Amino acid sequence: VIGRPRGEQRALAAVPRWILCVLAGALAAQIGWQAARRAGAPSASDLPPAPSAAALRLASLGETAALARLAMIWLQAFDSRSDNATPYQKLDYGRLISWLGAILATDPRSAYPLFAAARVYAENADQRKRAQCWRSSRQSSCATRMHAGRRSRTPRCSPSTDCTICRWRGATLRPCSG
Amino acid sequence: MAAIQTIAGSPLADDSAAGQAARWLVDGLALLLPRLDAIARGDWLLYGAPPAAEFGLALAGLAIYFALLAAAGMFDFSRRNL
Repeated sequence: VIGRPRGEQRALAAVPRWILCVLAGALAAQIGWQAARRAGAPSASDLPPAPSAAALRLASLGETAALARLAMIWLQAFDSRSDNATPYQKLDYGRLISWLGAILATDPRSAYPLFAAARVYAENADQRKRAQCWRSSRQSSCATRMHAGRRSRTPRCSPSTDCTICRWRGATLRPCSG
Repeated sequence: MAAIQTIAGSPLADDSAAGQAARWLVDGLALLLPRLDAIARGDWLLYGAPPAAEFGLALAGLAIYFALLAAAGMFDFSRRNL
């Protein structure tokens, strides 16, 4: 347009009406379509069996730290639903602990699975599940410390004499003192 | 996007007005963004193609989003002073 400086936008009235109609229609269709096909949060009973740590490492394509964190976010989606009044009681703790163990074994330096086990999943009204979670987190914590080579802080308990992460045999651990 | 929505709406999330606004923002973004995770699924390669109806619905969602992008592009182009 002659006489008008470059860089300025034209007025809204300069836009053809049919383009505005198409834009409004497409926007309404997009919002309506997404609202109609909105996927619900996964059910707590849907937690599948945990894969092996080797499978997780393979799936990480070398980025084990990133995959471990993504897996934790995915795992937490099962029990952090806003419509679940008793979220942790519905989880299968056997499978949950297997998932936490596999994720911890994928990235032993991450404290995220241990933190979630001790401070989130252990806060369960079910004493059996709470004890199960505490026992698992303590064992994993012992194994992680041993795996990291910080044996000056001797782990206090573990029912196994093998490192649960690297399967190093011959680890000398004191019996569980409760 | 579903995982972000789930975490934003969890009982552990902040219950303040800012937290509520953040949840609305995440829900609004989920309405605008396409579900690309429903289009390129790895299990289709492993276990075979999905039923035609499921694939058609996924493609329809993409077509609607493509129309929205095209309309937004035309709107922007019409307002440019070239």
